[in-house]
Amino acid sequence: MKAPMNQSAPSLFVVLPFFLTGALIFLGVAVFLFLHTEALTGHYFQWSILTLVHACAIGWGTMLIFGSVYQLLPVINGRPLYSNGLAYSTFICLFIGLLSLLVGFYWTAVHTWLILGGSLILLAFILYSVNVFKTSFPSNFQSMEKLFLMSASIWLIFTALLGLALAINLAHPFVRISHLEYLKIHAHLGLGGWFLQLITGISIKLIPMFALGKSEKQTWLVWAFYLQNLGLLGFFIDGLFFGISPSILIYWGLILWGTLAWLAYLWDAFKNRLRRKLDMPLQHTYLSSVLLLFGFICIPLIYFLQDVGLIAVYGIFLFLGWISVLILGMTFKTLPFIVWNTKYKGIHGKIQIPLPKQLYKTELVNIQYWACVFALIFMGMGLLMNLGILVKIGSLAWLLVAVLYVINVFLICGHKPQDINGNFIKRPLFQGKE
Amino acid sequence: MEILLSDPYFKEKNKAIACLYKVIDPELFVNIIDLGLVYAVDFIQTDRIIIRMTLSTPACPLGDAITAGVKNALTASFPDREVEVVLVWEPRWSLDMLTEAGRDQLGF
Repeated sequence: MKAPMNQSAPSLFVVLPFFLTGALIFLGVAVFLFLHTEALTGHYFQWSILTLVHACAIGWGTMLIFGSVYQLLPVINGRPLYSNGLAYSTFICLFIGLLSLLVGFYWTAVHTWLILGGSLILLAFILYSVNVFKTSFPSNFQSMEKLFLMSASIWLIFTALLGLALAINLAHPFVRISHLEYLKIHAHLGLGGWFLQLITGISIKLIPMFALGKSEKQTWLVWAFYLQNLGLLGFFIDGLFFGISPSILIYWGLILWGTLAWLAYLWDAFKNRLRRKLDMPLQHTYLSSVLLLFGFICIPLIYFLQDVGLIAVYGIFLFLGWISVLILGMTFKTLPFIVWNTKYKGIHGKIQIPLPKQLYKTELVNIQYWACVFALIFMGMGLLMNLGILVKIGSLAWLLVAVLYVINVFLICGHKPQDINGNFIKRPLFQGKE
Repeated sequence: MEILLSDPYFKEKNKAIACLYKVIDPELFVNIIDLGLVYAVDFIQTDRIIIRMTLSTPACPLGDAITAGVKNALTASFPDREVEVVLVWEPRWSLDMLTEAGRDQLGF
């Protein structure tokens, strides 16, 4: 069977703004966390926590994921990205919307900023979804990862719609059920609908590819898709009309079942991998999966115990643990390759050149991994035992994680083409016949 | 990929394969010959070289860079010929296609 030639990856300038901005916001989140650790031990509905969570979820997680998806979409669909212009517009709306939202949450608590920010973010999500759908259809490539990416973008829009409704509700109250109840639905649509579906879709493509693994259990992915979405839909509709009730445990069970089906697929691919030795970025991924399961275990405990410390641990382990640890690892499986592809494609095969993994300091990634583990253990223990000093030490370790990460991201983005001996390459070498 | 001594393009094919050792799969850090990605090198047309090859995965994001590397490597040694790369998915790439050196480099 003859295959279509690989489609060109999107321009470096489409994805780079997402990675650079996301990395800087991540550093900002770490500084903010270090300065406001006391907020973690209080109730979650306070402006500093809302600022932190939205900076983390939108400015860091979603920003980086958008950059990665714009890189991955052409690969999954075997065709170029539908529109680079839409991708640039997504970035601008997301960035300005986020700034407005954070100003609204932290500095002013003026509802106009929240509504403006929420509207721009919603627009960014719609533009992103248009790019996802238009790149995916029509296409000859049918795959589960496409389905997950599309369902994730639909949940993302619902999450933003609900968030915007909450912002409007602060200025002009109109919702029938408690604002806090809707806040829980908003947060969990984001976590389960957007992040979980998106990460499921990306991981079933990337993890087997990186580990050279393979699984024939495609039906497990079909189960994962239906169970996760059924649980989310039930949670959304039930919660919207009746608030949070014991029935959420049914939806929790469905989503957990779907998540286990997905993780079992990854485990099967992992068992059948050709590459025996796992590199540090992939180890981040496995740590992230464990933290996700920990988050699932927390949900029924929180429902029955209503413990503030446990709620904070749950939030920390999902945002800083599951989502952040995954991104901290996967950045080094995507960004160096994007930059390498742009800088070395023209001279690959002509002279000996560095490998993508030589565009950053691997030793910093190793320290980053252990600092993550240290930070999460200390923050978790500190929050459960209500010991502020442990939380502070953990947040300091997290600051170290962010500094190391940003150094490496800037090393990669600022990389200048050179040969294997470190001699910079002059321009004429690029003028190859292609 | 084997080249028979009786092959009329034996010399050219050997030279081409030597060039292709310089092309690496950037994710696996192994050259494409030892990975067994190159299925055939065709010199039948006087003005071109046709490379039939595969990738370790059909959705390889660096497929572009690998095929560009093949063109770069061969164009430098065969400046009078166009280089055409044809990607094929059958036979599908598997572990069995690795050379001994490729197995060593991948650590199994």
